[in-house]
Amino acid sequence: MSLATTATTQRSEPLTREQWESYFADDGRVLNQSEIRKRVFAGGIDPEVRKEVWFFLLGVYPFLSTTREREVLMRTRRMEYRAMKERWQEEFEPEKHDAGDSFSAADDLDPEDQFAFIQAKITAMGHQFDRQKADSSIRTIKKDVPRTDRETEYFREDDNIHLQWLNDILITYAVFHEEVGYVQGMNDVLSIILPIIDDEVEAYWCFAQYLETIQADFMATGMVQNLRTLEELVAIMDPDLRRHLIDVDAGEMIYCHSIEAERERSKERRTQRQKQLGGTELAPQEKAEEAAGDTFETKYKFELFVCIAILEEYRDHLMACETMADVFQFINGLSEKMHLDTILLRSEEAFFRYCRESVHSTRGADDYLLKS
Amino acid sequence: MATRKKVLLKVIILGDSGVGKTSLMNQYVNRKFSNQYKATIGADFLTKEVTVDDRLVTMQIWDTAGQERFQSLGVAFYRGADCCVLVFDVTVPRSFESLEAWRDEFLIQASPRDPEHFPFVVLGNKVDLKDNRAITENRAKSWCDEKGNIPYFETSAKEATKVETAFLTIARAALQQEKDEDIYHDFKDAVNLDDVPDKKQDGCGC
Repeated sequence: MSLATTATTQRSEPLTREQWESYFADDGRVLNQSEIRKRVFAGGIDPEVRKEVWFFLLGVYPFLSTTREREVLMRTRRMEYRAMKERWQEEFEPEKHDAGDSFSAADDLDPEDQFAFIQAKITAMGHQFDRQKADSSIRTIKKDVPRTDRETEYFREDDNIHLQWLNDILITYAVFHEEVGYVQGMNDVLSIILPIIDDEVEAYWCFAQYLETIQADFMATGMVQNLRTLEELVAIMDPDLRRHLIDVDAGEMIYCHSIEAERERSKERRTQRQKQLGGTELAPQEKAEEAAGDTFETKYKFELFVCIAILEEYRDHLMACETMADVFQFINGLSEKMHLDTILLRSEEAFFRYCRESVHSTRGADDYLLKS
Repeated sequence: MATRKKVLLKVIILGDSGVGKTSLMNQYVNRKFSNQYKATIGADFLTKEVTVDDRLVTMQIWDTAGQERFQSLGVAFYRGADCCVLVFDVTVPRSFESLEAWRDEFLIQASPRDPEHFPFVVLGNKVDLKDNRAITENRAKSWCDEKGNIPYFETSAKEATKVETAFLTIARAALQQEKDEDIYHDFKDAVNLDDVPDKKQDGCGC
């Protein structure tokens, strides 16, 4: 099998509105999904059209939905969010939200929405909360909201509506997804989405859909799995570095969790972060699958190749570290120094290098790639 | 004067999310306070040179993530700790009730040679929030007494109350622990003991 696709050497131009609109058929369906993803992967999205594109990339709208279908979908989603939010507010903040007759609230709705709302309400009311888990999530959210991205314009003012949205969206997600709950760092994901989408309900659905993809990264097993896979990758791609890290007692790669977390928390300009979210998070899986066929295992996430690229970029520094503390300090100090475009290109390069090596070598971990 | 090797004291700060671990560390090391430190994910540390009883030492203070989920990432940085600081928020009873679990977790993961005598220090933080106080000084003290006379301080990272004093005690306890370990290792080398039974834990949940 030949891997025809190779890494590009330069980031290309962002997807523009004009280009984006050229993908729409008359009925509103978006026809060439994979080309769009490739384009975004290579160059990101022009901020002017980012919000619209994210609805599709994050999975809120199917690419093949028509304009009319999307309208109906969003109306339904609005009712669902409202019903879920009312449900937990009545349960957990009864003093603030007089339950009253819940259904009467539907009276102020457009007749077209009433039915959807009542249905959503019934579903939400059927949900049984795990009180203990919900309390614990809510407690942590209340701690984290006042300290999320407050240095940015969007969240700066005390008691501003955006902080309220952050709070309500996180709680709604956590109490209706108890197997995941709230994990610190989710606030950072949402604080990237919120200013772009700038609407509570739409942002909720973008966030919830995106978490479907990255949920495992917030689960204990997923976090550990990522680090073990990273260890495996470093062992294959740079055995000397791996040996050195083990020698200084830093072989468990815990500090790389901060790198992964940092992709959401980077102190670089917000646009860069958004570029990162739009550019690498959403498209690479597609690209990976395309390159390796449908036998590609999802544990080899593109983010891990971003980690590899960073470790390689700063290899000399890491080789000079004499203790685990040196490694932590060096990695934790990186967030402001990294040049994002370079790292992204290198990550892509590392990914394809890994694919080639795995295909051509008989070393251990390659059997995942080609089952046939 | 005898040449002394440079002493590095490793201190680990543990406690529930939002009790003020990062704030205490930053108040002590940088004399700065912010109520908007982001939640700590993974771990980070700061160092500070201090003089303890005429001896210059470097304290390496590890700040950790308070949310339970991150425990699964492993706690390699607990290894070789010389003192463990347990922090709770005097306005949040639950954070006080968690101290026991944090202490146990530390002893399991760090497996110090002599867990009975490993030095802990407890800090009841946010005493500036007088109106919301939920855990009395007496209650905290009696827990500390029960656990083998753990030193207890009531701190406010915000107003820098007792932070310096508390960390001096922490440094002293850590230095003592470090000396004890040294003596133990010298002794161990001298009599050439083979394997000292190592309490390797298997319950790390991964």
